[in-house]
Amino acid sequence: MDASRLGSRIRDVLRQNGTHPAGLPAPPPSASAPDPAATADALGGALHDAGGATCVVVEREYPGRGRHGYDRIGECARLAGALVGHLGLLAGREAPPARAPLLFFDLETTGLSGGAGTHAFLVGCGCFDGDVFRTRQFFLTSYAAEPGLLRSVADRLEKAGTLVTFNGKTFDLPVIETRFLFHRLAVPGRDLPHLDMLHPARRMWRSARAGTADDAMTADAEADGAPRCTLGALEQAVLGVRRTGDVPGSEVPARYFHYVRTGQAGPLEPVFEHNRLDLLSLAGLTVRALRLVDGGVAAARSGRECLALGRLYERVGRRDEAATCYDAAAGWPTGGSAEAQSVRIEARRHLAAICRRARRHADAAALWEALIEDGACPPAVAREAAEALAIHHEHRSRNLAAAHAYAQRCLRQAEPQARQDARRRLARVERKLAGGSGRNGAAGNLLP
Amino acid sequence: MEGGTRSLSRREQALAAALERLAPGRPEERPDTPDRHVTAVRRLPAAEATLTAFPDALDGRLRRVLERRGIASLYSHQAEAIAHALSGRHVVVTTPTASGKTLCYNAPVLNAILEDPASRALYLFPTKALAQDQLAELHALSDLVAGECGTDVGVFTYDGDTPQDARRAIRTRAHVVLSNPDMLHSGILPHHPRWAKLFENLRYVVLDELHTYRGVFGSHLCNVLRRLRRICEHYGSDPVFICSSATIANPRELAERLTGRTFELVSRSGAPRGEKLFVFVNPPVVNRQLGIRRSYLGEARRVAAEFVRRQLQVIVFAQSRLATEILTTYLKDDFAQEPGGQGAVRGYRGGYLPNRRREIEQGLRDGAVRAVVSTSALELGIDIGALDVAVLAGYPGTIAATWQRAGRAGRRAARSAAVLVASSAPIDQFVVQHPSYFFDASPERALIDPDNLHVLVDHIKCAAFELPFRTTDRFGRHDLQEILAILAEEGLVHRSVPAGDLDAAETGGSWHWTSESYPADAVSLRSVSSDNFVVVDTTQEPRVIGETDFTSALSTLHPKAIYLVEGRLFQVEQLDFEGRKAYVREIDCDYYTDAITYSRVTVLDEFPARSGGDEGGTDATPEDGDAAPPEAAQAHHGEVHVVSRVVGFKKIKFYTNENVGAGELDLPEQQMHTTAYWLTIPSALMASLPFAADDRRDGVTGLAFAIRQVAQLLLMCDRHDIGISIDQNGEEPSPAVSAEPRIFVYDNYPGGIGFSEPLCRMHGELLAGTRALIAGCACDSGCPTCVGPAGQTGPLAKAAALRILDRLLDEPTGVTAAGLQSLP
Repeated sequence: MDASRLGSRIRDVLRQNGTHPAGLPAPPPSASAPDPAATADALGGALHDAGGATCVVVEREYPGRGRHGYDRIGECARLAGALVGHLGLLAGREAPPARAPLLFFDLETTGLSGGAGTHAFLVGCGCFDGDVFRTRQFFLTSYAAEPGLLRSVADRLEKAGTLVTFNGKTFDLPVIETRFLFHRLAVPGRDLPHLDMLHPARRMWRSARAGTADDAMTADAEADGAPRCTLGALEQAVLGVRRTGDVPGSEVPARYFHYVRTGQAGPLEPVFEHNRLDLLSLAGLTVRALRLVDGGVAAARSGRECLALGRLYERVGRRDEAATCYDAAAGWPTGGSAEAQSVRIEARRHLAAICRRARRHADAAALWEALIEDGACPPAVAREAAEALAIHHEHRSRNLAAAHAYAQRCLRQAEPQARQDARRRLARVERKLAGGSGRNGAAGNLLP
Repeated sequence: MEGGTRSLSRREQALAAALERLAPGRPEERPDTPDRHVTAVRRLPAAEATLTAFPDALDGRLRRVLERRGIASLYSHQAEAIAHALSGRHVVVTTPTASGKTLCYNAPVLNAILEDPASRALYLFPTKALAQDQLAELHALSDLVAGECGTDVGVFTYDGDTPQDARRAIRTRAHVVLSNPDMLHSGILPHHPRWAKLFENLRYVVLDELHTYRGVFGSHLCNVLRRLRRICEHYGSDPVFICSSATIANPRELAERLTGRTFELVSRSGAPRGEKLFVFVNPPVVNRQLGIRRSYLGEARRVAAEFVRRQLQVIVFAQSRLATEILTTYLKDDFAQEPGGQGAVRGYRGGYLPNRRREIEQGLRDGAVRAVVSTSALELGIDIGALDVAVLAGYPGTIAATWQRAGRAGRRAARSAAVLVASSAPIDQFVVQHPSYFFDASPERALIDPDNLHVLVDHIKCAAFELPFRTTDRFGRHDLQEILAILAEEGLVHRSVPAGDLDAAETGGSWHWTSESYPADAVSLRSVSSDNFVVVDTTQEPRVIGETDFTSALSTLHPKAIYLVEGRLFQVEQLDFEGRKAYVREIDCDYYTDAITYSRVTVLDEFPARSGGDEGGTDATPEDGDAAPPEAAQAHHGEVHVVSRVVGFKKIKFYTNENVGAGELDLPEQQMHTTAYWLTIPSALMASLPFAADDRRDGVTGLAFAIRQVAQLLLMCDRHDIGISIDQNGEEPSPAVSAEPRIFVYDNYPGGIGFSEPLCRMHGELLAGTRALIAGCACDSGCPTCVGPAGQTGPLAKAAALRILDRLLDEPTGVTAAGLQSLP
């Protein structure tokens, strides 16, 4: 097939398959390779030599007297140093291998799918140093320079005590790991303690609202009704940060591809700024979370925060502190909003479980009863509570009539797969009622 | 395993009684009787095992493991295949069902792992179910290896069902990964850095059921394997391929084309097998004039019921999903009165949800299911135990598939039977009346066209995502660099040149993926488009009851279509074309529907007739090189544009197959760019025909009908793989015949899958075969067996078609009427 015909057929095939380049239109092909030195100039960075390959490194310093949202950077730096011991708690471990210094880590990539063809073209690192916050961004000036960039990143990771990311477990770390594996380089930082702030942040501030962020969060609400818990949403709601002229994440890859084709680094400047702000917000949220963990219930500003604290304590086995938190969450005075209701119910549920484990059966029963009577209680939780109460009255309080009533309720509400168990329980209680009424004479009048 | 002697003899007696009733007398003494009800009975003798000692190269510890598994020596084909694999030669094994082919690859793989525990192997099965099936066997072996040698062999399946949290462990711990081409394509290759350990140490790649990788699927797989080879090269490994295939004409060629490697062929089975009787049944003619035979589905039902009634376990293969459902309904009716009878007869086809299928497979193994009616879905090696009888309702279309299906019945030590019931389709009638065509000829060739641009370009994108292309790389037959340059215009890739390397500026450097998309997600290996439709039953709570691929959706899920699932009838109430959903409701009626499709073909580009040399030789089919290329301008092949539209449907009554109504439909057109072979009937020839214009037109229509059947026979393809169209001027079949009509046989897939070129080369055989088919048909003036039903094609269609063929064959093309003898 001659060349021109092959060409037109391929174009047909591509058209039929609906391939469209995303974002900026592809410029006409040119062989002009991006020039690292010019790139460094345009972005205010420096050339960095790593084993023969160059990458561009952009460093910035945020002075301590400056602010990021509500918080002063110097104060954040001080707290980050003072409270580092609580990191393990945030990461779900009582005795933390977490060490200072913290390295805040965030990637900008050529796509979200992962895999061999997804590159991390910008590796952002941030840390507190004295009372300033420093960012160091490693930039990939050409695909061929990737091994050099990775070596530089590996060096940086070596010096970190703990890695802090936002959604890094699922995204940033697998992506950067894949790059190392691609070039068959040793993956650095495998033993580095890692705190992924996504999960604690979600627990603490899932429904946090501040100022006009309300609208943004509502607009961002996902299909299941829960507000989105993106870094952008959280920095507004929790840290009070407003960005102006931020580049939307969806445009990021196209700007990089444009650079690869043309060598024009200008359009990338906002991407660098975006990445730096992400690092600052990640640091800010981490400090907020550390402060909360450090201060306990007293430092909490919402029932949700108390609840989240309780979960963190409970996860590492500090049940008494967890119970205090749940107690505070259940009684948080914010009226009848759906959010307050859901916090109250969750808190009581967890508190009841702790009471039961501590053999405070009467307390647990009281909480379950309160749950059942709570009009906002979702059916699944009510079912769980009824089952717990049926067990409690059958085996602990020996109030067979009450056990019978709850067992009946269980059966009424049971999911199909749980019906067998519910039926068996009811039958057993009925047998006991019929056979052992003499032993349990007082049963009849103790219905809940 | 197969029950005590008593139940064996009970089964033997039952089988003998049923066969005696079907075809009385001793099979050895029975000549073929093409015009009778039973046209042939062949006895395929039992065979003794040919045993060989273990090859010397096999690790002593592995021998002990095999001995503990009850394997003291090998069948000859196993020893041969294992010896090839152990010495690093790629090998393809073609042996019948149940001949121990899995040992041919398990032994070398375990041997390699024992020698070096870092060794890895990748097994690919065409379906997830087959991989699951193999897992149990491998686990049993690896447990013994652990006990005997203390070497832990990790064996895992890795497919769409593998839980996310198990994947990381599998990537590093699995010595043997059982997967499928689709998962390799979209889940493994694009993530190759995470599989570095596998690719660095990959010693063997196993391709099971190789013969299934033909047509579109094979063309895709070939490209997936091209990508696999690039990645292995990147990690410095060079695996040995071990393939197993059902019997086809060109297993070695297929393996070599798919993998780009040179293969050894092991084709002589050393496994023992029990005696099998193969019976050909032709339903009797009920209307001689019209050439109408008794319904083959009814005949298949009667044949199958004879065996089921005698407590034999039967598998019935039907040609389509519709036929499967109809036969299931019939047989369920037959056994409805027996206790448990309804559940003892089951239907089975693609589109049933997986748990229903697993339940039926289990029922076959434990005997709870006595009869299963299946599409080709059970043709492959899914473990359903050893059955007594296979009934083939309709000729499967290829010799290879027929043997494969017949092989699902068969026991090592006892007799089994296979019965082919011919339909009135021309291809069936040809086979059933010429039994030696089937019994004595070699099976068909598997064709692929990996350089179909639709397929190739998709995989080049995937490959660029996985590893950058160098400017010196090749990928397939077309000019890779030009394709990449066009992908660069679309912004998908970019050629980067090392900074400062002026020499490389023009031609050097490498092509990198510059798109945020994940290209493998947009490519389905099973079709040219990855869309499918789901069928939602709204009789009660809406629920999904099946699915259908995009290409057949319009003809099976159009509004008012009857959709069948295991004999239950549903009517399509609404087809949501955009949402890819069909909403159905269960109804009670006595008919099913058959869509009417019209297609129109426009020639885009005609390829020159093939001369001696060909591009690169990779797509050549050397054995056919001696076929004379058609010299006259009658035969052409090239690129065409096909527009097809489902314009209506017929309602066909169950059992009687009467046409009891029809409906019109207004559905969107489907367009396709593909390749076609076409035959031009010269205007002079048309003008000289001693028939009226209408009869001439009927002759062309009838000729097209017959050509389609013979083309299908010659190409070893499924009915829906090719489409046929007659040159028309208007949208719908026009009453007038054009002065120089053309008959198109097109590849029914965008871009084509390589049928048109070989068909053009077989032009002579095609015409001669078509004439033999029509001339040999006993009907008076056309029937469904030759030129189409008389009522539909016209009274003189047969005569006119024959006259056209005579004239065409008289033209100085060097083609003789002896074509039939040269059929494969």
